Amino acid sequence: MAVREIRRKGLLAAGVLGLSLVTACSGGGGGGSDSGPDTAGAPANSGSSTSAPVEITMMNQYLTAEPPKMDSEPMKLLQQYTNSKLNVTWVPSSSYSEKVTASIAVAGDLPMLMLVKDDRNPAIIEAARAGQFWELGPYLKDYPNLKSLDPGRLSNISIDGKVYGIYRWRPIARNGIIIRKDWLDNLGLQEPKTLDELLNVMKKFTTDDPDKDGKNDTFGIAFDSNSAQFNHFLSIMGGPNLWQYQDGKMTPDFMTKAYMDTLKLLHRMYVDKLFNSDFPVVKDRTTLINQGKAGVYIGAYDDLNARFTDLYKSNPNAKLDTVPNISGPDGKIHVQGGTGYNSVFMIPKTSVKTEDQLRQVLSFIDKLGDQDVLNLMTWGIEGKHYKVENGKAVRIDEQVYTDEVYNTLFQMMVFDGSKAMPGEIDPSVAKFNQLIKDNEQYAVPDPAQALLSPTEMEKGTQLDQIIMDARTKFIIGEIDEKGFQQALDNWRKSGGDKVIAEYEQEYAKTAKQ
Amino acid sequence: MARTSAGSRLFDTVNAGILIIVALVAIIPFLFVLSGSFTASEELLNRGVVLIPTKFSLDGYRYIFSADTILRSLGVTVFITVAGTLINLIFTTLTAYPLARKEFWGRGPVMLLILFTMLFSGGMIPTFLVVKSLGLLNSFWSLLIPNAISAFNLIVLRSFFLQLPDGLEESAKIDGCNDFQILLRIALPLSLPALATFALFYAVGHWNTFFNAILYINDNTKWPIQVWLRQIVILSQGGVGDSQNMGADYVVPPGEVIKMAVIVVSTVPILLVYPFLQKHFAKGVLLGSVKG
Repeated sequence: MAVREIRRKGLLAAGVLGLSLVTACSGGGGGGSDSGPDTAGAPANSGSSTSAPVEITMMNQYLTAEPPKMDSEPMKLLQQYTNSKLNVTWVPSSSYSEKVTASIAVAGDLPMLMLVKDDRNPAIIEAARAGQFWELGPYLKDYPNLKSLDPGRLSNISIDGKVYGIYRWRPIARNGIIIRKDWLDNLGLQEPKTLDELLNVMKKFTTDDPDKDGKNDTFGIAFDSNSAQFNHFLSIMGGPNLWQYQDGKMTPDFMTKAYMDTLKLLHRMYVDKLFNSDFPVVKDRTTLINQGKAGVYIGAYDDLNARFTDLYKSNPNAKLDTVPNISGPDGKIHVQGGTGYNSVFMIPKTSVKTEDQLRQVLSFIDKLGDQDVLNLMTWGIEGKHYKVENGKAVRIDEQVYTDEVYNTLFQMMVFDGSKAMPGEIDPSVAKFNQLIKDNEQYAVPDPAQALLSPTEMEKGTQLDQIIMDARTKFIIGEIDEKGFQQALDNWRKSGGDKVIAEYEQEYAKTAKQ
Repeated sequence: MARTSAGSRLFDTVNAGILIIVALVAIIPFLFVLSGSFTASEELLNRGVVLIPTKFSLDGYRYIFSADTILRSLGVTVFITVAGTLINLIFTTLTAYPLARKEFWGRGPVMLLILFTMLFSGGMIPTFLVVKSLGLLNSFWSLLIPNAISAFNLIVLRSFFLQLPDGLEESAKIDGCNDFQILLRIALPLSLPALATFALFYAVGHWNTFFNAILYINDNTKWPIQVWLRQIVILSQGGVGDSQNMGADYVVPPGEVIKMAVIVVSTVPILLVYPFLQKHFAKGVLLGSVKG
């Protein structure tokens, strides 16, 4: 499975509907869903700690080489805290979607809680519309943690305005700039704050031999075929996040002026050799950074910790650092926004038959937001994975924590970890965590996120391909503005016009609700 | 023997040269993976293709064998391969032989039915339903039974049986053999090359079992090694981490070295089977297909 390219249907960004609510609710609490049928006499906390553990079956993915062990100590503690007996089918992430599709098609073989990765997939949406999953919206307000779920994110996962799942909270915008600090110092440059300064840094990185090896063998920025970098530049240039909504009109990003400006900018960078010319066939730009060939990386801030260990191995003097996002030509900072979630938990009706059972399952998820559970997931077990100093948690061994706690439990991390106890963390991590938090206010939302267009579901991949091909060709100078216009017309004829019309219709419909 | 002309020698040289190039193209990737799996990861990153490592390292193998998962999965795969191949051979032979006998009434329609399955198959979901309703889910049987007979192999083996001379059979009968004895004592020994070939086909198929295991088996202790291999290879390409804008569930991917070590561990055992069956190989497939 190649790195997923732009997936307009899965793509993030709070819907406009949700936007107004995101800010209002990030402070926790908030109204929750105030509509929905009245569920009389529902116990707010079904399953008190004295009753017998509730058996929960679950299907979940794992992203490590080995599946998590169910008899590990953290896993046992989790079950104790949530008063449950977990029976998890762990599926390797590489085959997860196939397994879900097969399970849903067959039904009858579904767990009580199913993690759905590709929740904007037509098969899932059809299954939800056909009533295969419980609609959860009306129940959320009965649970202390679930009722504080962010309405903006709930609207992002909604299908026809109804909520069929519990999202797993993730930051809205993680992307930013990671830069070779030692190269900046070698050349006596400052951290870039504006686009022009960034361009200047990249130019110097290319021409002024920042690694001081006497060879002209460096690039300003590492580029690959992933769309994330292009979209990042597009946001800096003031462009929309995939779609733009204005006066009842939906416009895809590539029909805007900012898009053309971004294309021209990248073409100029290409001509100046600021990035590797083989980018259309490069799958993973981290390699260029790891080889010490490029000095700027655009991607998730938290990649800093995870993806560059090879660089330090081959060059112990290298120093990477995150820098705040830069301002664009309009003097303001813009970052492409995400959906703010990763996958949703859905509850199939075939395995959870009654409302009582449903409440047991919901209460299990709700308890995943309790402080004990969040401490466990964030810090592990006291004395084993962390110690307390000055009222703050301090990790004992990062690797042990990752192996025994993070890799085991993180797939069940539903809530944001802000309720866990405060801790002492690595300054570089604290820095990028803050940058990710700051990004929230600069995030450009995608107004089409919660909208469903049948044409886009059916042909979206081919349509995206037309534009992506044209984009690449423009950057390497194979076509000019006229050629890009032709690709655009091709897009419109191949179904793009229908997508626009369907989005506009959907938008009008949801806006009324 | 005969004196070769200059032209013919030139032809031979060019021929050999081309063959050597073709052989190298096939072998070098294997060598690269093999030596890569013994190389320190920095070197692999900086030098690109490494055929003779300067910095030797066993890190990849250490990582793999530090967990019991891979050994257990290897055991599962060996079991599935041996048991599955036996089942395949027994059932394929027992079906192919009667269909090759002229006195078997109604073999035409049966052959048609078998041919039909080659052209139209049920597909994933119906097959899943069948496996489920037979109660095979979550057991090794789900990997052994559904593909017990490959229609194609069956047809080739049947043609192999068809070309055995009728006289052999008759004389065996006159000597007092019953049908089973004819099959066991006469037909099977004569078809050893074909059986060896199909054993190899089936064994490789079982060794590579991956998707069915994911579909039918939920208990991860029963997964064959290919599931593990695929996960590691995909993780190391960074492909599974969610797309850039999605969650932060990013786990440090196993390095190239580990990837290569896994490839070695999971492919070398089945590669070792080839040399032993190789002599039967060409003969088995060709003889069987002469009289289609």
